[in-house]
Amino acid sequence: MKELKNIIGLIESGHKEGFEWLFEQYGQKFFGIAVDKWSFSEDEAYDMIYKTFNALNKNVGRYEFESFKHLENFLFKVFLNNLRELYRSKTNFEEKIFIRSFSDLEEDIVENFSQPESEEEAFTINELLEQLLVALDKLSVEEKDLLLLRAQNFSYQEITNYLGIKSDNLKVKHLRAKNKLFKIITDNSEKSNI
Amino acid sequence: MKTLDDIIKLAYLESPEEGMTSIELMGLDFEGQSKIDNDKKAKLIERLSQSAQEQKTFGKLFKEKLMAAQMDLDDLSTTIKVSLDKLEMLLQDRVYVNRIPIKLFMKLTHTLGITIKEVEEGVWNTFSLLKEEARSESGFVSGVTFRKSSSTSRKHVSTSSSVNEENLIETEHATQKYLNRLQELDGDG
Repeated sequence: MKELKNIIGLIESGHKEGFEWLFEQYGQKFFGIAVDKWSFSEDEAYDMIYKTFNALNKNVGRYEFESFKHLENFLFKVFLNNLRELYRSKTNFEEKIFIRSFSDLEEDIVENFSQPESEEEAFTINELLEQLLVALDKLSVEEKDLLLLRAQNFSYQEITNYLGIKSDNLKVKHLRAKNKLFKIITDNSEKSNI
Repeated sequence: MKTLDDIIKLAYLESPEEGMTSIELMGLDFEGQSKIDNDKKAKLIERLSQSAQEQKTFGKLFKEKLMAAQMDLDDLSTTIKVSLDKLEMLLQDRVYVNRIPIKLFMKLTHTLGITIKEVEEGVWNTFSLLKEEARSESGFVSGVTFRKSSSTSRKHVSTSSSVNEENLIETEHATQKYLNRLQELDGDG
């Protein structure tokens, strides 16, 4: 394994070897996350990886990377930032949607939103997002992680490995967490309508 | 945007701390099915390498020349009589180069054998980097916590000078004037 100092030196001076190392360590990983889990196109994922590594390129002389873990954290944060920017740019925050009522939320229905039947029933993405952020805060860390990881198509088995929790009833736990989230949102919106 | 899952993803991205936890969890172990093919991989590496060459900031250039001259910052500071703090800031691209008195800067470039052409390129790249950083001041990159420590931070430089002074110095026009003067002095020398 190469020393961190050598890697940083190679990247700083623009040697391909440095970027090859970077790519082997993180490139495919980021690509997989962007395409498989966040449903970005391959071209979008490629651009995000370029932007992420190029941020390191630009800033490599300005940061003290004390360990590979530090470097990894930096790259993940930049990657996440790029992912956030692109995801936001593709979102129409004013789009109007309608949430099915809590009682409709059965396992097989999944939670597809439908077109609002009337203006009163509709939320904009922005409004729903605000409510969701408040509601998520009321869930346990395990519930939140479960929701996020499932939202990204991680299998229950993968989640078991990541979170180190028992796989028994994970599906049920997920459904319960989602129902809990919905209940908080609908209760809140009813309160605000009173 | 049609499912609750899409909005959950968005919600996590909007609260970075929550998002990071899970992203880290995933990222450390995750091996996706999708792979970049070898052609694209080669192009990516080529682009990055090229970009590193083209984006050579004055700080990077300074570091390179310092190493080539086998000098350390202390020696240089004594030789050219520029404070260690200032040299550190130049090295880390934390200061607009035209904040350094021009004659002292000349001494620095002569001592390290940096040509005017190299200086010019490096100064503009540093200028762009600092401007970009200022633009995203509230954004993420400036918020990461493991910046190189420097006994004098850029923030300190900024607060120690007035906003007006910053506006006069940290501009394209002022930088160009500084470079022009540098060229004149170099020609005289």
